[in-house]
Amino acid sequence: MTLRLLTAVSVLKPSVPNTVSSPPAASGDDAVVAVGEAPEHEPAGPPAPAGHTRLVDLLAEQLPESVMGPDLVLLTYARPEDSGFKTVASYLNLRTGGDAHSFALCGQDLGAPFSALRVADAYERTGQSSKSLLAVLDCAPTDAAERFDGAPADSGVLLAFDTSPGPGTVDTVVSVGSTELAARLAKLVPDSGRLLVVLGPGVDPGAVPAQGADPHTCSEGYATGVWSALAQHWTQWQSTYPVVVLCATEPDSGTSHLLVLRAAAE
Amino acid sequence: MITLEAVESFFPDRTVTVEERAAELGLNPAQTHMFRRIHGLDRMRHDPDLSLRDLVLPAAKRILKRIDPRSVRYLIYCHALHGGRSVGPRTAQDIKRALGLEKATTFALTQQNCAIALSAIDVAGALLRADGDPEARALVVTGDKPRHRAAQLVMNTCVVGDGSASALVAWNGSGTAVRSFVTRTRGEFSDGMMSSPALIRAESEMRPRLMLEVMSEAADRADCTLDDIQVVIAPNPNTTLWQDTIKDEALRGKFFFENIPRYSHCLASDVLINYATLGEEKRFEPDRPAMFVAIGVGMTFSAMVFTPSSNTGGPRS
Repeated sequence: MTLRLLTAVSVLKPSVPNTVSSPPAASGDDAVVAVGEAPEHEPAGPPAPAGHTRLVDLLAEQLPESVMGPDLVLLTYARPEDSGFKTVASYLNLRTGGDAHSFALCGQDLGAPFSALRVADAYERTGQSSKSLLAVLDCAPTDAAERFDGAPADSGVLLAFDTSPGPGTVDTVVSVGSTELAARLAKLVPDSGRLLVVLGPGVDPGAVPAQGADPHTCSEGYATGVWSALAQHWTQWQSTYPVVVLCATEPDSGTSHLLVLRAAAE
Repeated sequence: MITLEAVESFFPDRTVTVEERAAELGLNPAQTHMFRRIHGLDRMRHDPDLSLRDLVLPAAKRILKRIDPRSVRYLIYCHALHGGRSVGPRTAQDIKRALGLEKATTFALTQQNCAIALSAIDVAGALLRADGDPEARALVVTGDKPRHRAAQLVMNTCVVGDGSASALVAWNGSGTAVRSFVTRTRGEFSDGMMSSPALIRAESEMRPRLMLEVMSEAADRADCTLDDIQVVIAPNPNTTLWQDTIKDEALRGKFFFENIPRYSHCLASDVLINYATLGEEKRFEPDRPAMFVAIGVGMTFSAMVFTPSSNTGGPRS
């Protein structure tokens, strides 16, 4: 693989909630109202979750100009928005250049960003893409604003990849069963330097090798946890660890998803 | 290259006329008349008691009966409607379990609306090619079941029917060869049906030019011309959309429209449904290029040139 992480930006708990994109259940679900009509809703009650569109706006504003103009834009989420009025993948495409092949990949809980990265890698290896963007979005459930029990907050991460040389190459994206995780991680401990294992929701900390590896446990963000940590700490990690592994485990199936990044030269 | 090894469609038994369905949707006589006389609808399948699962599974199961299910490395469920009230976050995984494909990497693709099936074929092919296992297959499953009137009656110009389709994708298999794929997204229209009237007008004005550009580029990449194309397989929203989009009568004459009065618009499944119909009726000329086209609200334009093989459209096993 020659796909390489160029940069990543993140947003957590945006301060100004967006109340535009969530019509109430009574007005129907997706898509479609007559031309010129408005959806039958008014913003009311507690602040609504930010919505994917606002997360995309906040993320796109942070992107450096150098990563604009991708040829592939992938939007992922574990939880869909209630309303499907806006095609947010197309909007992200527009915000970042407008010439990409874009779509959303979902329906896989925490595994969706990992599968999206497999798609980006496959497109790179088959010559269909050399510059891609991956958005990982997570909107809190609609009742989150009324809860005080640590309910998940809105969060998002935008990662830019290309094929230039340097640290951050995507070595492997793989899914393994719960019984295979520890053995798989053990094989990733480098000969020199240490392995960093970024632990997302549901990952058994006991799977981290006792020798030659350090864990980093993500405390915030459900679907975005490991990706937010990557965005926040990548600059430090790439100069400290030769190998960085992002790991998240689906609660229903127990399947663990791993992204192996080669950081600095070993 | 990407090959389509099998394509199957499914419809519930209950057939309704456009007048019967219009009455269920509360349309007035003038609106009902418009659908039959202007938009070219006649009848469709619609079963209000049918679940999304029961809609999408039969076509996929028919394909799996022909092959070793263990060869399916990827299961891709693609759907046009992308709000959580239509398709839940676990739907793709539920389909995987129902099909007994526990070992297949499974996810959903969406947010190209009715154009998503063509991207799903392309994604499946890229994954298989990158993996390099010639025996591996990807199963693309399509189907939508809108539960609310707003998604059953699109823009007052389409009445959504019940229908689904699945496709078995290989890399370098013996089936229909995919020779090119071109897609363009215009994100300024990402508000879709919620766009302002001015934006909707702009989209209408832009649509014929962009669709023709995408079709021409797909033909060019496949080393053929639009004149060489034996048939164009498009979604079935109505006849007027295509009259407005494809201005060239000779080119429009290549479009397969016979399923518009037969099944109406089945959202993301239309192109595969139409392919299955032509295959079942043995209407493909082997080794002569044909083309899928799709327009997805939001706004995506895609075209894919393929060459049916002598295996395409054989009798159902």
